[in-house]
Amino acid sequence: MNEEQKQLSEEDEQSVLEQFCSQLKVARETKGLTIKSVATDLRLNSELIQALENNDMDKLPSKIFVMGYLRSYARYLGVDESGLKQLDLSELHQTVDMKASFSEKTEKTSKAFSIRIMTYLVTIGMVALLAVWWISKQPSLTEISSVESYLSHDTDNALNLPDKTTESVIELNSSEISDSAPDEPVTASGAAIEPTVTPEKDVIETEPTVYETVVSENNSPEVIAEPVAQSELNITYLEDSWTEVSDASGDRLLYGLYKKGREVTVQGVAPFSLFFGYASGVVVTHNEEQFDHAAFHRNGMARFKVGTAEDNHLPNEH
Amino acid sequence: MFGRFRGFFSYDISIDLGTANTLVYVRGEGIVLDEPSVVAIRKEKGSDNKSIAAVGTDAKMMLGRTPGNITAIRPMKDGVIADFTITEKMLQHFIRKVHENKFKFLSPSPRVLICVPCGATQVERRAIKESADGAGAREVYLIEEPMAAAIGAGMPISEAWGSMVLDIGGGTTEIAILSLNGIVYSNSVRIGGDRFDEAIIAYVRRNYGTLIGEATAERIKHEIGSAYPSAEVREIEVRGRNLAEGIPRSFTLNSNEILEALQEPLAGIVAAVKTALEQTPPELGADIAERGMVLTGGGALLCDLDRLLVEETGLPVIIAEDPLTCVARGGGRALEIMDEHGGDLFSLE
Repeated sequence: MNEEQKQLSEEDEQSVLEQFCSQLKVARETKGLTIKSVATDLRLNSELIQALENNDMDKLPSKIFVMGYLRSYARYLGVDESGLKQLDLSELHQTVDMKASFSEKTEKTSKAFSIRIMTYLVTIGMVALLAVWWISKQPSLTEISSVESYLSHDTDNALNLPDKTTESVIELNSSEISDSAPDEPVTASGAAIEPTVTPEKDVIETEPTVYETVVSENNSPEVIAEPVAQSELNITYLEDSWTEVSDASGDRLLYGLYKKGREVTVQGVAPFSLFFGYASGVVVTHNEEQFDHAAFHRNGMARFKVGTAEDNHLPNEH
Repeated sequence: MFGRFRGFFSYDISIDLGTANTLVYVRGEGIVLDEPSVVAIRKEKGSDNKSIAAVGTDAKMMLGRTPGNITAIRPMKDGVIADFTITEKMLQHFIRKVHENKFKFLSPSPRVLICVPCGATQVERRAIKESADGAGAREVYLIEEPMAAAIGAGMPISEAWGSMVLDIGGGTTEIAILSLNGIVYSNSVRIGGDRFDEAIIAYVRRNYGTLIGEATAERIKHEIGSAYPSAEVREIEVRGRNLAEGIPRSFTLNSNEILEALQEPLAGIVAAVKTALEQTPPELGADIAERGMVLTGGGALLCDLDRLLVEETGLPVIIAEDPLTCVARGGGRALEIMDEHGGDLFSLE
């Protein structure tokens, strides 16, 4: 609506201006004056006078000058200049317009009043949210400390385990530990009840330490058949290579320089992290599938991971 | 921090702190205050305590008509501060007045842009800045008057084209050649509306043996003052005290007499304009010769002043729209431009 009104007023303005300009021309001609004589008397360029009479805005400078020329021209010819008065105010707003093309490097975002208020509101809001979060966090801190004390108690039990060396105890403890894990207590306890079901990662992580200590003391094959999902990694050396292999549980399975022609098979929890000092001289086979590690080579060395958690199988599944 | 908070409830204002009139332009609202720069001070009997009796229009009515315990003074002289404390009080009063409808519980703390004459010394500029600070402004910017006048008149000062502006104020006349947002040449002569009044008073005393007041002289200037002889002769009846008889007498003055009276200050302005044109680099001089110079300020309203300048310089002369408010409007626009393009575009600091 506003736009329309503005448009209209501009059109009106244009027509008033045109009318005034032609009025000037008529007045000059009736007085028998030439453009040149007028230009000399007004100290203006005769081209400017011509442009004024024809209302040729492209040839004229900015509006303040045009208004001034028109007024002095009208006064010179004795034409009533009150017609210009109604133009004045509407023109004014347009003339006070400036492009500051030389200040682009100092250009910065406008510090509009509303933007400033918005910034302050947002800041205040964020501070308020932080305060709310802090207050709501206070009781949960005590909860966490109680959980922690419980956990430490359990790990003490687990550390005592190797002395007892019975499967049932191991099972019980592993389930207890997994129970105490706050993230997935339900699935973990489920795994403890029915150990043949694919266990969760949390259970696995706590397992190997227990497993190894048991192996060292008991040396019994039943313990190896303990339901721990594992996968098999086979490394064939075509050249000498430094090798570091560790499995998902963080156990270091291989560490050291392995000679040309050797073939090593390790079992562990996938994914395995491997590092080879001379990767192109090594063939890696995971679960009887050759793994192409060419993409990881960097300066002859390679660091990569093999397998996923899904590749783990229980030994009795084979 | 608290000042900034108060700033939320204040305007951005531009003040044309002139010798004769003070104009306040509020961003987004236009000219909201136009009052004479006059303060009336009441001195309490029996003590040295002084209090403000009136500011602005009310105080101007008192000029020359005050009893012993009230003095009406104009704290600005020649475009700069003559009385620091009173100027501060006056600014405070005007700033409060502008904010009357805004938010009454906090004292206003606006961003203020003040126009200073280009001839003002560092000390004078500092004084203006400090008095605005003392009046409660949060931030104070200074801008040269002719720059503000040119922006207010709508001249294309950002173009690579010379623009000449002649701002005839109450106390000073500022001449500047501007191009590319900067001042190429500027000069300030201490001739203005006040000098016209003084010249009229002196003329009447000399030729009629009669003493007239400043207010009467100003009225004469407004009604029949002219700068160039014209066919039409206007007359005015004035009253003053006859020096010989000591009795108020009434007599008639005509426009030709006033023209004669104004010759001296007008010659001063013309000479300053000619000097400015002499000092202008030739390219800019050619630009000015093509488009002409622009007159702003109250002096531009003196009848036929443009005609005089046309005849004397041979250049086209244009009177700006609404010449009295050009400086204040230009200051307001400069505030906006500063916000859009960064503060160092016009600011003098």
